[in-house]
Amino acid sequence: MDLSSAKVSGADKLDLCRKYFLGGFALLPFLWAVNAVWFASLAFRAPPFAEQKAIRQYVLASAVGAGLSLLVLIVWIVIFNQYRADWGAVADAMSFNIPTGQP
Amino acid sequence: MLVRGFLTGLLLALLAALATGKRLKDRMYQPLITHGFCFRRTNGTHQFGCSNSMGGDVGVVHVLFAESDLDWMLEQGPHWPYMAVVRPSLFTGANVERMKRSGKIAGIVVVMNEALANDAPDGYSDDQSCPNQLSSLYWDSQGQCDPDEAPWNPNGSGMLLESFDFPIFLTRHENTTQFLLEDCFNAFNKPHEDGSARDWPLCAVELDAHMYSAVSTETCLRRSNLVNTLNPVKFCDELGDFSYFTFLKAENTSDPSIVEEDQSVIVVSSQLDSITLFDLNEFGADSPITSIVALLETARLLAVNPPDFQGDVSNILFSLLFGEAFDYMASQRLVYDMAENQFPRKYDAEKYPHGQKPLFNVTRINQIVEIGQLFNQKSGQKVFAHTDTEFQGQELLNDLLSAARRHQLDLSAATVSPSKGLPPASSQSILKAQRDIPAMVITDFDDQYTNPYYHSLFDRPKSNLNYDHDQGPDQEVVQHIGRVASTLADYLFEKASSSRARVPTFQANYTLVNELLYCYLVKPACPLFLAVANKETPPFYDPFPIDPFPQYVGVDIKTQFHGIFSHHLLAYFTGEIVEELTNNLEDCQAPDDQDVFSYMFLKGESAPSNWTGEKPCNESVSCGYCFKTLSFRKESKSPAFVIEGYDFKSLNYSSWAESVWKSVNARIFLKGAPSLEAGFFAIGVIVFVFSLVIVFWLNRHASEIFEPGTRTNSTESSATTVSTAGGAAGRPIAL
Repeated sequence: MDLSSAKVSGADKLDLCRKYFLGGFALLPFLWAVNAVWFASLAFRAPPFAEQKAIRQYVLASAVGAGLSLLVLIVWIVIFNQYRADWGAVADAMSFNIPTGQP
Repeated sequence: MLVRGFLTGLLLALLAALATGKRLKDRMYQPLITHGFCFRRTNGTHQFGCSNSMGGDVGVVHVLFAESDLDWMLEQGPHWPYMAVVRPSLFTGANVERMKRSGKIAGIVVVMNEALANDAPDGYSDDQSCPNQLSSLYWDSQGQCDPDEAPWNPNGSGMLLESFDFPIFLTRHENTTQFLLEDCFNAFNKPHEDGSARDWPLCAVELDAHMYSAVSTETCLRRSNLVNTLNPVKFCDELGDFSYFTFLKAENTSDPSIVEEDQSVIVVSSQLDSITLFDLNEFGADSPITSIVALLETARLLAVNPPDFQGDVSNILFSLLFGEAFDYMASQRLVYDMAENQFPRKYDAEKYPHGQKPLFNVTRINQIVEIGQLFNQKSGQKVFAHTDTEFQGQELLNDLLSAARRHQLDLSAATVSPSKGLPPASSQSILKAQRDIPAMVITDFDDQYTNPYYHSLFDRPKSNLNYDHDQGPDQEVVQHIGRVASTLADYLFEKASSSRARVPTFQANYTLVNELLYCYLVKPACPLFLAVANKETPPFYDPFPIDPFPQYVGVDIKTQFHGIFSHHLLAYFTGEIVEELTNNLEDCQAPDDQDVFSYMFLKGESAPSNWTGEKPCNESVSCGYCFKTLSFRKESKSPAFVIEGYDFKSLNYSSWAESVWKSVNARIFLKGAPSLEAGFFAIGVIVFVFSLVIVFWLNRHASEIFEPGTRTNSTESSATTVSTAGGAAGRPIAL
């Protein structure tokens, strides 16, 4: 969908933005990130239109969701790398790729 | 025209000649030809050996030919990490430990060219001062070996049980050694007279032997068996091979006289393997070859003059155990198989209606005569019989001693036995299962190893045994081993015969002993190994190597030729020729409805007279003799890998595994100053950033710099031409 096209109505844009936002709850934080970036200029920079306020809310919520998910992911990666060796069999079972020659 | 063509051709040819076509990589690096490297092994709880970071470790070369060089490198040298190039006599446990602790070492290259081949320390062993201590019968009890107070192996450095995070390589290559010492170190790195370091560029070496396994055998096996990884990787292989056995007399389950718990079989055993820090460099002479040769000759003597087995003893079992250097792996497996009713083979009356070898349990063992290290220059011709602290067979020992006297063998009872028990020996595993079996271990030492180079690179025939094939059968080591063999044959014959039997005069074949030592220690392509070759061995399977066969037990997926040839010799010396199958390789198969004996096709020492093939006999695999033999092989892999759900932390069984590695690489090159390298890198980064800025700026101001309309593609430009042409004509054209 070409968001800059005049043929796309504001309601369609809001609908798409909402779908992306809801889709993010299916453990797909990347959808939130895409949503936040993609609709950012429409929500904050474009000339005002009827659905802009609602889109703005979805964009903000998506950005927060994506940010939080990223934080959680980073924390988990740090913890996992820190304790992988200590967890032994459990950590090995969680790994897709085990580094060679290391505990 | 012709002249011009000729001149052009000449010019092209000259250009081609000028272009060397040598790759830049090859011009930068000089290969470091190596003959072995230290690799990682694991046991149930720890990792040992060497590994390095992925892609290899680089260090500036420093040659250590005197202790002072080591001091300079670790205390003054400014260019660390260093790659220590070490002569063998300085490669001692203490020095390596010092380098390891300093943290200034990227790796070690041991140089052992012709000139340095005998540059051994006064005494050195890669193994521990108390070998196989954790699996010892005496662990945590009376007789336990104390590393600090008169240990069995006083020269033990314990290097095999250390973990190094840098690579250690060995080279014997003459040119490589010269290049390292002269063209590399002396030309670029050797410190100035006043002890100050040379300046960059310096000669450096990169070593890479990155190991896959880590932590312990349990961890690496678990990781190898993971199913959820995207790319399944094998991290390690279990150690294991085959142990080889032969009974002196055929036994069949159909024979009612066989009783399973009659304590009537004498076990004569020897360890088959040895170990050093460096892969493919396990050429032990005193340990284990002297004992293997003595056992083979004893078996041969008794096969020629077999006892009547009319007394208490019903049979003799000769065993060559492969893997004993690793916590008695092979003997532990033997005892385990016996306990599981799998030795020699599980009963299967359906498959073998004509009978099989009766089950053999520890309760059938009458006594154990184990042959250990037998001779080195320091021990001379003295040998000792060791016994357990709870030994109950004084009269057996006395008989053995008097047999020795009959053969002028200087054998005495070990003085330390009553308090210290047996030295490291396979018998310990069997005594663990049944302590009251009388066991005697014959070795060349009393309270401590006389072998100064037990399990090391220096346990070699010339330096340690003073062995030289050309000196013939009269040399000391050959005579000595022969006397041990004839003594044992005499003793065993007496024990295994009725009192009426006349003991023959056993006289070892010294020429044969000399030939055996030659095959095992000097040149594998020797007459005796050729005599026991067949289609599964060199020279028919692979060519013979120049060096002797390595004696390392290796991983379970590979069967070592060292063991295979020992098996063939055992069969060759004790088996009998099936005349009608001579030169008939295809039909040399024992009936498969029985498991009492088997057939083995071997070349033999002289060609059969009726060979009619096209090729000469020594080139044809189907020229030879078919031997009927009672010998057989059994897997020597530790029970730890057989028992379902074995607890690797329990120390009950040996649990050694060898790491997997993919590539091994070693090369020499000239390394520039780190500041120069950093400078080059900085310039690269600056150029990159600068180019980004320029492109960005140009893009921005493109319309001001370039004439508008020129940045078009071909179809557009033709349309534009039409349009302008139309415009010029003053008529608007709708496009």
